[in-house]
Amino acid sequence: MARIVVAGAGAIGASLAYHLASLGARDVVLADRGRVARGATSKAMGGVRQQFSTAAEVRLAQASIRFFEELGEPLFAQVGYLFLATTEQGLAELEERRELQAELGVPVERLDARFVEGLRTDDVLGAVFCATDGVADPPAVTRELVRRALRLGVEVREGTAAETLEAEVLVIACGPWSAALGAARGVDLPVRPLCRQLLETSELPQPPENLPMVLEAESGFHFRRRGHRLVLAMVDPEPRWGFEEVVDETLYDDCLERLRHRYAPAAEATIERGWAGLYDMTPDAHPILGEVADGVYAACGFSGHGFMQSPAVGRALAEEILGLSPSLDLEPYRLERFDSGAGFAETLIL
Amino acid sequence: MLRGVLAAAVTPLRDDGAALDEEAFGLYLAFLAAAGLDGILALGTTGEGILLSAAERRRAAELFLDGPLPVIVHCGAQTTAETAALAGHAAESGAAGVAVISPPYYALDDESLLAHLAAAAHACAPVPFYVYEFQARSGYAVPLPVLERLRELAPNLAGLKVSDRPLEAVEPYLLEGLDVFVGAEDLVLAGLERGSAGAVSGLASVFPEQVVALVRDRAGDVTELRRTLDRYPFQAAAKFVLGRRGVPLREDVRPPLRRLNDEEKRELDAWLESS
Repeated sequence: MARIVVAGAGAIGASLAYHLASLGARDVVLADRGRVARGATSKAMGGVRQQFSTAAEVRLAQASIRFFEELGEPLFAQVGYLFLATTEQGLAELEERRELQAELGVPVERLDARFVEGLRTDDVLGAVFCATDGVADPPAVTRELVRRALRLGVEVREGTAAETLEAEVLVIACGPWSAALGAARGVDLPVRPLCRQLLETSELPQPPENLPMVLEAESGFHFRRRGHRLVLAMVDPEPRWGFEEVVDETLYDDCLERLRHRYAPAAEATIERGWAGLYDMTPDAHPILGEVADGVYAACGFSGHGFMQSPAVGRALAEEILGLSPSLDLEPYRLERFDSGAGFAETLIL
Repeated sequence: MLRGVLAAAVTPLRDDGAALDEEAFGLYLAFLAAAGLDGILALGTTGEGILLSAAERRRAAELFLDGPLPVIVHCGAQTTAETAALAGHAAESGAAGVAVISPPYYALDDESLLAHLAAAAHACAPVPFYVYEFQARSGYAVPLPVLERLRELAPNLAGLKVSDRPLEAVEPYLLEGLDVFVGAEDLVLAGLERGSAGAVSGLASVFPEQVVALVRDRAGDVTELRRTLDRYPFQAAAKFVLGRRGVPLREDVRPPLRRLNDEEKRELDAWLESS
C-alpha cells in the first residue's frame, strides 16, 4: 500500500492519521515542522457545536459530535451552546437557523436563558440551546488522537518538514501554512491567515461545571469555562490578515465589560492573559477537502472550525484517500468550487 | 509529542559548583544527541535543578534549549510562585514540556498540591505539562485523585515521569490518556509492556547508547552500570565518568553534593577499564 504522509500534526492531521490507520493503512507518517498540537490547534477556543447555518456544515458537525461523545470526559464536556439574541433581527436569524438545524435532527430548542444561574437576561429577546454541543481542549484531544495513531503503527515525525519525506500520497493539513506547501506542489490553495485572539480571566470563585458556551448572536461575543477561569472571544472590529500573531490589548476592556454585563459571577474578574492564533481562511469560510493534484490532497482552510470538524473530516477524507466510500459528502468542499464561483456562504463565523 | 528515551541530563558546573559551565553545554548535548536519544529532561534530580538559583535555572534551561534535542525542563521549586515563574519561562523559551515535582519538606494535602500543580501547568500552557512523581525524593506520593482533578483544571497535563519503584508503585500511574515515562531503568521494559511512553533515565545521561539499545531494541542489560554508579554520589560519578568517556565536562557539583574522592575515582577508573 502507498506511503501516505500527512503534513501538519494539529487537530486535522492527527485525526486524519488516526483514521487512516484505523481503516487499515499501514504506512502512514504524520510529520510536523514543529511539534504535535503546537500551532493553531494550541490557540483554539475548543468549542464544539452543531449550530451552523448550512446543511453541509451541520452534518459535518453532527458526525464530529458523536466522536467527541465517545472521547468523553475529561477531554469533552457536553455542556451545550447557548445563543442569545438581543434584537428582533438577531432573533429571526437564530430562529431561521434553528429550523434548519432541527430539520437535520440537531436537538436545538428555544428556551428561557435564565436556566444559567447568574446570566443577565433582561435584555435578551430569545435564546436557543443545543444540549449536545460542548467544549473540549484541542491540544489534549489532538495528543490523544496521536497516542491512538501511534498504537496503530503511525510514524510521528516532529521537527520534520513533510516535503523532505518521500510520499506516494501527501495530505496538506498545515492550517494557515497550507498555501505555501500547496505552492511547492504547484497547487494554488486560496488559504489566508487571519489573526484572532482569545482572552482568559482570573479565577472565579466557583464557576459551575455545566456552564454552557454562551454566545451573543449579534456581537459574536462568547465565553466558556476552562478550569476555574473563563475564556473569552470576539470578532475583531477590523480583520487582521497576515501571519503575525499579536495580542491587541486595546480590546481587553470591551471584552471584559461585555462579560461583566452578561455574567454576574464574573463581576470581579480581570483579564489575566491573552493569546493570538491564526485562522486559515478561505474565500467562503469553508474548508478545502479532497485531491488537488496527482497524489496531493488538501485538508485545510477550516476558517476557525477545524478542531470541531476534525473528527468527521479526518474520517471521511481518510476513507476517500483509501478508495472507500466517504461517510460524508465531501463534494461541497472541493477546491474547484472557487473556479466556478460556486462558493456558498457560511454566515456564522465566530 | 515526546516518547522513547530521554536522558535526565547532568548540568555542567564549574568553580567548585558555584557557577554554570556555559561552554560545556554544547558538546555535552551533541554527545547525547549522537547517541540517538529522543530528548532530555533538564534540571531534574540528576541535573541538580533544585540546588540552583532561579536565575541559574533560567539560564541553564536556555542553554539546554539551544541544543539539538527536545527538552522537558524540570521547574519544581519549593514555592508555587517560583515554580510557576520557571514554568512560564521554560514555555516561552521553547521547551517541549515542563515537569514539576511535588515540593519536598512539607507534606502537602490534596488541595495544596492540586493548586500548586495547577498553577505550574497553567503558567506553561499550552506547552505539555508533566508531573514528576518521585516519592523517595518529595517525601509523599501524588494521590491519583489529585491527578484526575488536575486533568480537568489543566488540559495541558500530558503525562508523568514516575521514578518510583518497585513496579507495583508505578502501575497505578499508568493512566489511559497520559504519557508516562519510567525513571527506574530496571522497570522500563515492564513499563513499556504496560503502555508507558518511554523512559527518562539518569543513567542515560552517562550511557545513552546502552539505554537507547535497551528501550529500542530490547537489547543488553544496564543493571550492572546502574549498580556501579549507585555506589557513589550519583551526580559526581556521572560527571566523572562522562569526562572519562571524552565529554569535556568538569567534575564540579553544587554543594552540599560533593565530588568524588581520589579512591572513588581510582575504583571507577579500574571499573571503566575492565568493562
